[in-house]
Amino acid sequence: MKTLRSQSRVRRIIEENGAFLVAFVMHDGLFTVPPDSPDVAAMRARILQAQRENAEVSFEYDSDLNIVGLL
Amino acid sequence: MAEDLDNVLDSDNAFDPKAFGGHLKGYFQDNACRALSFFDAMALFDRLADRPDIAFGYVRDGCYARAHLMCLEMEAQGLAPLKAWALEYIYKGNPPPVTMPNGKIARWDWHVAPALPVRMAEGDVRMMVFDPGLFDGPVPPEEWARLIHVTSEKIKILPFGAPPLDDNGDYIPDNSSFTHREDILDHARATMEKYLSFQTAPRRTVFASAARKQACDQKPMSFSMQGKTWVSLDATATGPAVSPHLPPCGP
Repeated sequence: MKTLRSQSRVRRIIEENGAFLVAFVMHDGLFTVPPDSPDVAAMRARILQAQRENAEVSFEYDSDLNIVGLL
Repeated sequence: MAEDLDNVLDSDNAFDPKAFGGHLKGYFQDNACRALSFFDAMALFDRLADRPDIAFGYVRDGCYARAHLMCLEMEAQGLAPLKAWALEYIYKGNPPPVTMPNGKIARWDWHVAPALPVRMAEGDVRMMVFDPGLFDGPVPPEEWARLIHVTSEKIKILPFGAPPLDDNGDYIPDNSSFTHREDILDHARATMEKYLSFQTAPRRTVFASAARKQACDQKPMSFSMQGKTWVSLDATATGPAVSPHLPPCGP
């Protein structure tokens, strides 16, 4: 699976029917933390914290904009 | 850089920028205050659409980079490009899924593409959006807006380099993340380089536009329903619409 990395502040988070969608300042696409990800709770918590602190988060994602890991 | 366009600054194509709203007053200056002729607009679109350094085949993200690189080429041609912005707050709820020409779903928080005034074949000057990742020709803002589930009144058309200001935050590349214009260019190029690796098909499928059909009908030997990197999807057909009277373009 091809993945890319990015680093950005969080613009906003959309929680929708159990999905956790993340809009980053440096991107137009909405990224997802897949609900079946083994680290889903920890990843969501870290992203929420980054949003609260207006801090950058480094992440790895696939071509479907699934966040596959936080760096 | 591609060769200069013919008749881009033809004085016959002068137009009144106030026709597109008072906020654009002062942006179009001197020779740039000209609308592109319809066929020059199509030729420019084709040249942009086949640029190998822009990942038009991967549109889930990176519209800001695609738009920036296209605007720079427009500027280099002596044009005064604008950007059409669809921002997240225009949606009543969450941004809805957008069905791509290949049937896949994209989800954008916002979207941006270049725009230019074009003197249409009928003689009137219209603002047209250039989004070769989605369409096979320039489209009016209302058609572009319809695809992304908004009404055209919600679309902001702003000069290249003038980001939306009355919104919920920064919109790249024209935001506080960059100090110099060169940094924006570097970021746009790097983004496209990354997203070229996400492209899977040698040719992308795009939605057919009325402009493309009109160009093919009027100048069938000059325009085709496909380019080196794209094929039009005719919404009325089951497969890609390939002009029957033209051989495919080169590899």
